[in-house]
Amino acid sequence: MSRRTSGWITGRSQLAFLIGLILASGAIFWLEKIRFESTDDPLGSFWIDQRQPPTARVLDAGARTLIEQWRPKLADQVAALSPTQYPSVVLLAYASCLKADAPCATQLRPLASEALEQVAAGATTWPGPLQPSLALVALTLFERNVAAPDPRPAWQVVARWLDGLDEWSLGGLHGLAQFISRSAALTGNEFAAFRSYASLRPVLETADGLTRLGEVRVTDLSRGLGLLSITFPRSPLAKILLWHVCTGWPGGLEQAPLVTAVLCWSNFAAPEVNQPLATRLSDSDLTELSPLDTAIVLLALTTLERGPLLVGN
Amino acid sequence: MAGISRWYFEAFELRVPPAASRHVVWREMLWQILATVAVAVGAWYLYWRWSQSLNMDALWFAIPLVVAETLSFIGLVLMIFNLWQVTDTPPQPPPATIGECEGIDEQRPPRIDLFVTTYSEDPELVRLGLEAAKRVTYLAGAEIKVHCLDDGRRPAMQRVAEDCGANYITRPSNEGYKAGNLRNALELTDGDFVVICDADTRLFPDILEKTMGYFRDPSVAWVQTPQWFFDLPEGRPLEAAWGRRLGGLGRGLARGLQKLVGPIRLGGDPFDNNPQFFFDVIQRRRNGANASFCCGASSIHRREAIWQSALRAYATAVDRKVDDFVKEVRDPESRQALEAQLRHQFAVDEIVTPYKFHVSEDIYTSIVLHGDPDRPWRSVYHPEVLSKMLSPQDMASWTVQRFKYAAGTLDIAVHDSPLYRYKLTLSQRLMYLTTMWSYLSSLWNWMFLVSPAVYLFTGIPPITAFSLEFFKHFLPFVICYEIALLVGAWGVPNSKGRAIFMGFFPYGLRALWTVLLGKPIRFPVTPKERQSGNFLRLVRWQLLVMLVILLSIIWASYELFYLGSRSDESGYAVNVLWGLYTILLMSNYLRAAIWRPVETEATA
Repeated sequence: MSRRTSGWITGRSQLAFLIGLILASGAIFWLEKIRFESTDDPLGSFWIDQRQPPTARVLDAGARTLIEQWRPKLADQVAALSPTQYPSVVLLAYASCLKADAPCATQLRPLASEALEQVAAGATTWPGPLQPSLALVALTLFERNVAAPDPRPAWQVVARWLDGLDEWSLGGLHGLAQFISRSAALTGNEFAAFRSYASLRPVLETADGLTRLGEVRVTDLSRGLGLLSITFPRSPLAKILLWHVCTGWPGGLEQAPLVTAVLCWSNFAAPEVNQPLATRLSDSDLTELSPLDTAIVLLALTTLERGPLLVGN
Repeated sequence: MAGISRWYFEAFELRVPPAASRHVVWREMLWQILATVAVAVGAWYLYWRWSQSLNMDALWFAIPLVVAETLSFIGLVLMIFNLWQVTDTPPQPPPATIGECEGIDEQRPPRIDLFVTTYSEDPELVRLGLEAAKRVTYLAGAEIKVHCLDDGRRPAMQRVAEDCGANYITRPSNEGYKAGNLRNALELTDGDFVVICDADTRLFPDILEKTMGYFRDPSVAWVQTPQWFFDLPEGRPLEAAWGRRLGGLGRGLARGLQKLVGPIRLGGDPFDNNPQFFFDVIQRRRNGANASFCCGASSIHRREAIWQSALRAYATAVDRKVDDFVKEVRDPESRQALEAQLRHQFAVDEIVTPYKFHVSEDIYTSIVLHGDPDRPWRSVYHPEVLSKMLSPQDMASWTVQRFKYAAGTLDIAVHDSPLYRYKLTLSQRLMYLTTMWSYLSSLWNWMFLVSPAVYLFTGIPPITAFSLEFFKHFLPFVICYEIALLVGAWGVPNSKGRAIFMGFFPYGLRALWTVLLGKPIRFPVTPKERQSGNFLRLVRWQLLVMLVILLSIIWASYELFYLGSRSDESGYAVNVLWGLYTILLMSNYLRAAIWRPVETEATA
């Protein structure tokens, strides 16, 4: 019987393989840490030429009218949702109403309490990392507002969930990753890789970057940058980049989804935004908004009145 | 040596073969470490490609390219597995008796048959091989017989064979081509061992003394030695070529250039015929896994292994045919009666094929012997060159030869795959898969060639952006792999081989098409003399790729610098460089098609 050759790989070769694996793991770990321009430009913004955002929108009569018309409708839409199914939407909408000191705060409070209980019990299945991030900023507001129910048990649960999130899983979530990272920073555990805006450069610097990104992902990009602008204090870069998105929207801003249109309108008062949105907003059917976008639009309106969610009380 | 002055290779007769590369332990370990890093970093790069870099708005472009990259990466991993380590079989003293080879107590010296196969080659060329075979020596008492196996049934060949004192063997038909020719000779001879030579093979006198020792292990079926093409044109030094046209200025320029990039020779072998990488690196490193396959010429075979395996395969084939017929007969008595009748009939119809009747009979027979379910045989690769032969000397001959290799291997992969048909070890299966994968690569390699043109014409990138993130993932992988290969195959050149590999797609696809359609694979004998003619037709697809890329570069430059209608400088730069590199690769085919030997090496 002939000798079958099994185990022909020597121990020395196996050792070399192990050394190679260790070196490769180190190299990959180190490469993952590399963020270009991270030393001089931790936010990865050196490529942004126009660093001055356009005029911010002020609360004029027209804006006030729109808010008065939309807020009750949006609150009604949220009130019709199941707090167990959409806890982050309910919490964010309630936080917006609370911040605005609007009547919808009373309307949404029972739902918000229900959502809080469910989150605190750890019974929520989050469909992705955006929802817990939104819940976290809402809960952070509750903590600062004496009128809100106690958010601490729920806050701990959400913070733990975000702690366990794999940073790599945020890759490709343009804009949203930056928002999620900054939200997670509220827990003291930021996703450092996405503090920077460098990964948005290929999309926003080239002429057709937004077109190539595709409508779904470019809408997410506007959501992420918009949320950064209307939630956190001192977000000038997010605002500048949102401006790029608003003015570079493929086919013109009148073609953009309503949530993007509102985020652009609520942040900027420049003609590039006013003109295309003049009819877009007045003719809009708010029921076309998804539950998530309903809460985002509600927050955008509040920001126009009272500033970003986490500024002040 | 009558008639040698006729031959173009006369000028190369005194060349000595390259020594087998030295096995250096620390270098092998360094190669293994670097190769592991390359594989891991490559996997990381592919993960990034699939998860974060696809251009979602151009999936028609993004997906094929990333699939091509993935399949190519699998091939790279298989190749690294193939090249992992050198495990030479320790040489043994040559056996004086057959008993030492069979593990029995028989004291007679071994009998050895040297087969020189021919079909249409010039008898005077075959004479050189027969004379070399006659000079082969062995221990006193051993019986060495030289046989000329002429499938051309030519009286002139018979006269030459008799002149040389060789036994002339022919047959009435060409059934089975070379494999059939060998079978016929095996039936008419009785040596314990058989040495196979092509018409142009010239054995060195000590081939048996250096290889027969391996047969002391009764499980060794064959020993393969490296093939050495001693006629590869070396070309002319750059100083001489440029000096001839431009005088002193040309010589000065040539010297300056070579100081920067090392020695350059013009007019050298344009076909990458040098088999040193294949034998000294690929085949040699399969030895440890018992997966070095037979390449025909310059190999020594144990007759018992060939026949035993052939008879077993014959019996299995008869059984299988009978089973196919009788399995649906329910009545046991009828089945038994039918089985007896059919077995006799099929036994008459089926033929015994010591060497598989196949266009790639050598690798096919290797698979059968390695994967013999009852007695898996061993092969040995002996790293020292012990014979010399001629290379294909023109594009037509080269194409025929490579097409034959590709179609033959793919035919085995499709119709009798060693991946699941034979009793092979996992390592052996992976080694054979490596060979098959390399020929399948024509299915995806063309994507790498056309991608830069698609981008430059359309401006649509297959990835989200040619950004620093792209380079961060791509460059570590490529650089690491290149360094690993440089260390792993130290001193054995392979750059031209890789260029040829990338441009092989027209022939590879044609081979695959032929196999899938079940068409017969043409079996023209590789010409052993230089053919003349215009071979540009044979490289028309490579020329088309070059032309399209060139046009795309012109078009993109016009858009960027004149019209100002594109602003993708980084994508432009990457794809222009990629395109120029592709043109450089394809230009090897153009050079091969128009190549003529330089005067100093021409036929006298």
